Amino acid sequence: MSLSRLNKFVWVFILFFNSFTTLTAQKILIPMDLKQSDHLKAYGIAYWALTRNIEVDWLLNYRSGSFMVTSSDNVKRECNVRGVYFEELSGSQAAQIYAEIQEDNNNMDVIRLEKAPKVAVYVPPNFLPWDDAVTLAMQYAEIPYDKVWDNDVLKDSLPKYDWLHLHHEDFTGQYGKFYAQFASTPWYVEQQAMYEKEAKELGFKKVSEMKKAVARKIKDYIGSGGFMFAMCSATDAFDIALAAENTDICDNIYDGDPPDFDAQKKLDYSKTLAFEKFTLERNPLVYEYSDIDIPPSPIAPTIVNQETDYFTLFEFSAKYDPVPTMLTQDHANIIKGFMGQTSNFKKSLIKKNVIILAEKEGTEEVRYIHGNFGRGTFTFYGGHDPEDYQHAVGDPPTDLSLHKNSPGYRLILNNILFPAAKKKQQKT
Amino acid sequence: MLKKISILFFLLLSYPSDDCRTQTRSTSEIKFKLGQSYEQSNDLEQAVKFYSEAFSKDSSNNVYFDALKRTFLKLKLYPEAVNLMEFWLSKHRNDIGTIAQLGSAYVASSNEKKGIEIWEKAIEDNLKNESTYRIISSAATQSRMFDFAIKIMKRGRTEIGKPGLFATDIARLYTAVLNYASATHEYLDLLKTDPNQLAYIQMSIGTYTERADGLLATTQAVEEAVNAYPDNIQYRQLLAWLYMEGSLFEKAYDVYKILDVKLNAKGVELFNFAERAAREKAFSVSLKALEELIIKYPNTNYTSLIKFRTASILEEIADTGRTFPIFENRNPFSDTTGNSIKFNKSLEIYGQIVSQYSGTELAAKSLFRIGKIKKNRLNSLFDSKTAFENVIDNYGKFPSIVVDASLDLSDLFVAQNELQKAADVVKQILSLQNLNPDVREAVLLRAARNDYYNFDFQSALDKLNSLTSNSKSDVANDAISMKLFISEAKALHEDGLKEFVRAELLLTQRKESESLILFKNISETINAPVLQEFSLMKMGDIHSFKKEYRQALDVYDSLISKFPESILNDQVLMKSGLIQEYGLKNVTLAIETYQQLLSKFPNSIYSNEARKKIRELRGDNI
Repeated sequence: MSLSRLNKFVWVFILFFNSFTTLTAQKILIPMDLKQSDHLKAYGIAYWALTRNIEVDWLLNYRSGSFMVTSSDNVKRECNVRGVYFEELSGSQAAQIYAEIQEDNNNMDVIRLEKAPKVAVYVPPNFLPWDDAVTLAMQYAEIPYDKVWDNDVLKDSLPKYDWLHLHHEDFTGQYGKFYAQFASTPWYVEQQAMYEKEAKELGFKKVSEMKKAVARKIKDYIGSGGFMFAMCSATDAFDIALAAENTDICDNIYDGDPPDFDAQKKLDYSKTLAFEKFTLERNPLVYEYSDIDIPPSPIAPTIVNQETDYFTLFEFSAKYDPVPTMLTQDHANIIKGFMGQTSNFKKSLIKKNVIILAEKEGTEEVRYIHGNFGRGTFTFYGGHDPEDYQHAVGDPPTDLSLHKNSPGYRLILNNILFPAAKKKQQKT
Repeated sequence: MLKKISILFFLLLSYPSDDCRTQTRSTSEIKFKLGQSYEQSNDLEQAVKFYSEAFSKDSSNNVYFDALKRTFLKLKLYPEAVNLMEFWLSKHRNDIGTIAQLGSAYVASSNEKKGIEIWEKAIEDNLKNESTYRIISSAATQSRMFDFAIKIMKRGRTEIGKPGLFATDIARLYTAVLNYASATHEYLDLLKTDPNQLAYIQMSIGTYTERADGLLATTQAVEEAVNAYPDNIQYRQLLAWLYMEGSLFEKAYDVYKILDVKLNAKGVELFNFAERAAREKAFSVSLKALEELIIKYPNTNYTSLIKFRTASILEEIADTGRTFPIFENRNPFSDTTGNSIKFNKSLEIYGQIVSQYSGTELAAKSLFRIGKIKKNRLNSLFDSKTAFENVIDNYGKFPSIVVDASLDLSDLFVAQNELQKAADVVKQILSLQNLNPDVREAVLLRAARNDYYNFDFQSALDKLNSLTSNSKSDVANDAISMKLFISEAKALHEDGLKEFVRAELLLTQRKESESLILFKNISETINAPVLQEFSLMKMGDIHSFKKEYRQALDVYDSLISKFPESILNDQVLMKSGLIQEYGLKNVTLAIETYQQLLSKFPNSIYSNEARKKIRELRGDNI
């Protein structure tokens, strides 16, 4: 008997005798390949099942990252109501699938999801959920979340959550560098007034100081085992704020005094999570923070062609690298690009210990990265809205019911379920 | 390094003797230009060194002073900048710009107290000078000290004795600190002194009234102002606008009534209010305003319009029942008793318009509305026909209204079994030139239906073929369904199809019991599945219209059990769900029926609606 066949035999044997009830129970397979009618709501079903203590297995790389759920009328009904395609399996059919996944020559694995992660989204109190791809995705998938803001972060409320999401918030204190275009618009004036008032109330002289303190708190949260997912400009702005701990990078128009002349020299890259050796964009009127974003925001629309803007997901070994495998589960591995204030990360500025999950092949443009810090992890995803190529301030929200099978949005939802995974002993 | 530069600068700071001035000037100029080059290349440390040397050789030169001061500030060398500015001010006491910057430098170096002291001293020394207040408050604003900037400007207003001075600046500063009530007070003061600023002030206030707290604070402030100055028209206009923004229509109505009188608007203000209120569905207050207008101004040149709007609002209020597209746009669950009373008032006013303003467009529109109400709501076919014919015969100068009336008239002829007349009307419309393509397609579909009712199936199919070729057409779906049905039924049993048409025609004519008998007969005797399936569904529909919900459900069930593969089964399940929900009010069975639809027909065109229904009925928060 070959080693792999022996493995298969052992796997079936163990499952059969140790989990008899589980094995004989019927299962529901929620395929995530092209047969799936609503990929995004499928994540919501997995989350919903976890909240009801129903067993959910994430079948990595099996039919594009399918879910196996213990069968019940309730689950079937809920799938129907939410428009999620499913297949009913007998106990033996399910066992066959498990056995296939465990075969050594198949790049697949089973991840048992344990509990519904508690999710927090870092957004201002007056935020509306249509300008942020992650909250849109969670609302559509019906995954509940709490909103947290500076006050909550600084008062140590993050440890209550498994997962923290950041979108396009600016941690550098430069109000998104929207000054040149929007300085006189009511929302900008109101935002600046609100942030200044808040900083004062929290005992900070400047907004930038408060934001940097918030970034450090979030970093501590990750270090203690939290999961952070950031999109768009929250990615580079977060790292820049950490690097600028001991210097002032904000111009007069943002905080009433000039930046440190030698701010660039004073950046401390050892404090950052993902990026190093980046150069700040010192012009306060340029809508860009640094050279991390590639191509730079002001010129991107003129040089990038939407028709040819695609990025490629890397494939990882499911049995040896389950985490990056989870994060890259998708029914397409070439995904259409989309712009944001930060669209891509320049490869040469990414720290060596960070895993690249997706990039634009043959270029310096990296789209999706993941890394560990302390006991936690962080994932950065460039771009603003996977289904709105060039999302601008004031644009209407994306209607996700028209993008139920969006591969770009799936990557966001992979991150939401990832903290639910039971930690497995790494294969050696 | 920078410390050394600053020591060097102050050691060198001495005034050169007269005989070496020329040489000094050229040396200092070279140094200055070198400093400029370094500054441009962003090497500020070198720049400050050369600027210091230039200034030390010619400390009266304003350009050198500015360059050095600017560079010190850029480098955040606040003590050096302070020393430099104090040195400069010892020789140029009245340089208010430098005094303002000196205050800012102190604030930036965390000595806020000293900064304020300097700014206040500058004000004390120039109590009557308007620009001093502007410069100092601008410096404070740049240092993000908004409250102090406001204080300075307000003081300036008092000291100079001009109450409206700095109003927009102060208002903007109040907006920046989210103090909307005070911002509004400033705008109100400005409006009092310059009533022409109303539009500008409305625009400025509009930047914060989108926020609920902004709207509330502003409204309260303007209410107080109106109470204090009851004769100020602009204050009332502003208040009326704010009430409309906050959907406080009754309050707005009271204000517009006063404004209409004060502005001698002869009802225009009130009419505009009524129109906007009606658009926002505030019907009762809109009607109140219109009724008042009719009483006050019975003979203006827009009285007919006031009456027409009154009638159409009354019609909209009466016409509250929803219709269900799946039940041929009828509502099998509505209570139609009392319809004649509900529509009486609007019919009466439309009638008045027709007689008082005969020959006008509003009279044509009123006649058309009378026809519509009589046909769709009161089932009074004769009156309806008279109204539509009146439009067609007497109002040819309004072609779009004539076309609409003709289409309805054609339907009426069908309902009265006068099929030839129906066909003639349709033909007449199609002969019109410049007919809108969408209207032409809708008319062509009616022509196909007329052929169908006349058993001329081939002609109907030809017309339907031309309609289905345009997939973007609004009527394409209806045309496709009709075409498939006719083709299949005709091929299987043409006589059976004729019988079906007879039954359908009876249903169109609201002869439901007779129609039911014919459909029942077809379902039991005609050996053509498609005709049997459709007959069973029609029977269910008729029972629904007759509010015989349980019989309707039985017939729908029999269709599903006899024809499990029927293409109508998802539609029938959806109808059963609606009957459970609205007819029998059984939420549990309604959910169950919608569930059945989803599990049996997940790709049905009704699945999204069924999902929505389930979620509404079980109270999901989505």
